[in-house]
Amino acid sequence: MQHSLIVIIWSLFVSFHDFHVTHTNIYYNAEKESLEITVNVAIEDLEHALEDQTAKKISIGTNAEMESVDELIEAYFRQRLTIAPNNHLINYEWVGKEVSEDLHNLYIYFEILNCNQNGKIESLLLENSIFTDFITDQSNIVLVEFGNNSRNVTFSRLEKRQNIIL
Amino acid sequence: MKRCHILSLISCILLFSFFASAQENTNSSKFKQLSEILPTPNVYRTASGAPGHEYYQQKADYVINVQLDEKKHVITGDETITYTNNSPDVLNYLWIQLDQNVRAKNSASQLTSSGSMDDNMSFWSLKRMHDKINFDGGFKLELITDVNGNDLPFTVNETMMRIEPSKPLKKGDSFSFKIKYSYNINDRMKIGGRSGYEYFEDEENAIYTIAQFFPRMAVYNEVEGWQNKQFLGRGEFTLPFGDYKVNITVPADHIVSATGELKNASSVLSKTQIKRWEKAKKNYKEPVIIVTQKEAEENEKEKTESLKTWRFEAKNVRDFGWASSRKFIWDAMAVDIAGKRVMAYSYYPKEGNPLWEQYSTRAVAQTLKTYSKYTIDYIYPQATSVHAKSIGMEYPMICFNFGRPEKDGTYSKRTKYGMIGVIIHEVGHNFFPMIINSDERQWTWMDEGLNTFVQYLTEQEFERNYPSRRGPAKNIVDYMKGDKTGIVPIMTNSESILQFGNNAYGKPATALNILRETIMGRELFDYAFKTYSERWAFKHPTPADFFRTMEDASAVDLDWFWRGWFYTTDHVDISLDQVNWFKVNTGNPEIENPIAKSQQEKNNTFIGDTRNQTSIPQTLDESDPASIDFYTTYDPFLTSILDKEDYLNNIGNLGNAELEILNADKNYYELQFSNLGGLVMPLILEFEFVDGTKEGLKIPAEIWKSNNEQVTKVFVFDKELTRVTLDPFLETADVDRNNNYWPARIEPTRFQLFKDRNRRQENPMQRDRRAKEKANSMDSKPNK
Repeated sequence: MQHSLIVIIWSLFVSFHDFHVTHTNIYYNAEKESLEITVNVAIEDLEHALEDQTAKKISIGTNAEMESVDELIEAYFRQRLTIAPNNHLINYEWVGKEVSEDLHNLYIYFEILNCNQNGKIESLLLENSIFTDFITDQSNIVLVEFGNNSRNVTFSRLEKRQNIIL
Repeated sequence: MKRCHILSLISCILLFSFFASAQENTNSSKFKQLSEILPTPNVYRTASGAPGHEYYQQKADYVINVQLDEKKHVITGDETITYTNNSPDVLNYLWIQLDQNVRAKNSASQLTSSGSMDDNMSFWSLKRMHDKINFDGGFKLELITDVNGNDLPFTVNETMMRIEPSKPLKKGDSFSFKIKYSYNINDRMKIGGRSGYEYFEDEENAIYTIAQFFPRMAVYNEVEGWQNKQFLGRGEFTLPFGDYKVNITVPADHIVSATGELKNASSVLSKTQIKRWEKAKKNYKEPVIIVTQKEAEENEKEKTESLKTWRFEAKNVRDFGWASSRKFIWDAMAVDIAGKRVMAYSYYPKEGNPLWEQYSTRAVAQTLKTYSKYTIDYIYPQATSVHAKSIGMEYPMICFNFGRPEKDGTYSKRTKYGMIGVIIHEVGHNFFPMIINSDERQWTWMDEGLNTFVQYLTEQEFERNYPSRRGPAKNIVDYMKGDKTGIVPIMTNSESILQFGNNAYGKPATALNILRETIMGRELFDYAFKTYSERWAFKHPTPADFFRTMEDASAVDLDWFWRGWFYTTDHVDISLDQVNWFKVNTGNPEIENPIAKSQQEKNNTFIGDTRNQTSIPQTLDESDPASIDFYTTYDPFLTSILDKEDYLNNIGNLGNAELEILNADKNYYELQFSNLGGLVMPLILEFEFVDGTKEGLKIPAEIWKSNNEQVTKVFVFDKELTRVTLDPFLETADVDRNNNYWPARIEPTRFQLFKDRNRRQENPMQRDRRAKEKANSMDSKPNK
């Protein structure tokens, strides 16, 4: 079968750090019936990803940060991280971002409010292709925590979509 | 609260629950000794972890001449290797490493790296893929002869070459041979690599950071035989020690930096440069600039056709690296290591400033000082940091480090600390593995893990609260609680490691930090760690030598720790399940009866009983006195004269010691713990009492020795407890802290903390300003 290949034309700089892992935590807040999403990525990789898309120099967490960078980040994740409780795709809302204590990573927070789903979330269909467009050996680890039910799944170029039955 | 009698109380104190830990009929205890896993000690490596009385190692000496063609980006060279067999074995052939072949077309590295396409690939990654496939890399071997020019039989197998000496090498024999070769240097920015060049297109200049540039001897020893496991790109290098004489021919306007000492300064440096260098040798306070930025900027504008040869020599090193460019600024500073002068050097282009001028050499100097304190005194004459975009890579006395400011000269905090961190890390590699020369091809953690640990110690000495990435226990939690199918034990071969950074750098560095802060304590740990460094400096240690030395020098049995942290993917999750409170039953009815009565009154009442109190106005016995007998009015909690007599009789039978316990009125707390994560760890507890005071206690991990899953322990206090916290100082990397408290407490997640902090629409400064305004306006109101 022939696949069509979309090539993103722009690339401004080259990055080289060996360890390509992102961590995402999806936590069900039973009290608020909301999904709290925390994504932890290397700032360097995220800057690279946004530069590929925008053909602009991107700085995150520095004085040179553009005002619109939050929107770029949100748009990037909406493309590459989707969450569908009970097979219904729901958009998450931007909560904020912060640089990790060691300055190396960025925590990005999203949430889905009123995620009651008629009383029970039985499954989460996740698609995660964070950075897989330019990093061959990218691993994206997602920890899903629903009360005592906690599940760990790993996404990669070869495995971008997984359905978690809770 | 429970009140129990003296006998049952004693049994409480002795109580340990003995659960059957496993259904298997073999010893699966987490405290099972490691001797079945570690290699049997022998005359080369002792059971104490020290080199044995017949320890030997091979020696490889090199004389190398290389020339850089900067137009074609080609290295041509010839080398004479003198190999000395110190082993008791006869060697019929020698193995030589051809690391450049990893970039040869259709190399095993390219074939075995599992690639995949993304339906949405960036142009950059596609281009990189093309560039990698098209690059004509690898050594081109011209001649392989003995010293008399006779061809030697050789066979190349990917990144390894076998040559057969004219006669077998017996113990003590030396054999010299020559190799003539060339290779194309890779553009690091296009296809990556630990060495190569960065090209500055607008000015047609390059910075060459050159390594693995000559065929290098493999290690032969009693552990692996020949360590000729192919170089696939990740598992780094395993190399014997030797002496090097290297002549590097480059364009005459280049500045060259290399392993070892420059032996012909007067023919390659200007008089001014030599004068400044001499000045630097006396300056222990701050770097002295030998080639200024202005001079470097002048120099890089024009190119000369003429060549110069720089002559370097290095003794007792396991490798050689060098860097060359006409863009280099160069500064230097002297460092006092145990009364000896060591030079700290930095080479960087204008693109590295202002960051490099301020921090690089200072970071080199601090690294040498801190590492010398915790390992061995640095004994090489110099240590160099060279600016190389996007990589951090180490060689003896020289390393290549990233950290480039923006074009306008500004830089982010992340760039600054990233750069200082990588310099400390790569200079630190001089100790692990350049001097304490472990087998990198086999075990990444032995150099990266140990080095990252001392890097953390150095960063904290560089600046208080330095934003270190790896070291503190809490930083490893996300990794260790992660998907176990995506994690492998630390004791995994370099090529098969998943999550390289966390596995080989973060986890071992954290494990050592936990040993130092929590399990062994700083004094015992530091002595043992230094002992390991001293024992194996300029030798080839294995994991067992490290594990054994740490125990041997400290008298701390760490087999359980190595087993759990290095041989499994278990994590730490200890749960404080239950707290039961006991007080001694005095036996005195006048004290105990009222207590028992009030206990009963506190018990919850059945709803029917409560309703009946009002719905039944009068019961029969209340209206008909004839229905009353003894039992109608009997109060079991009343104390009779006989009860008192019995009590006094009992007391009379007690000895003084028993009476003392009886009268002490202590509080007994029985705490139950379970091990949910698998890793046994000490129980670090903080008790808080009714009067607000606190008391800490550390129970060694051996509390789990008979039952690895659940333990119960009793604590005796004068005062009543209000709170118990397990691991209050975040020492153990416990992944779930919600089960670490009594009374139970749920810790907010990072998400919730962030949201709470940011709920207010104002930032902390705005809020502070508003608070002050409000305070002022209240002050100004007249008092009524």
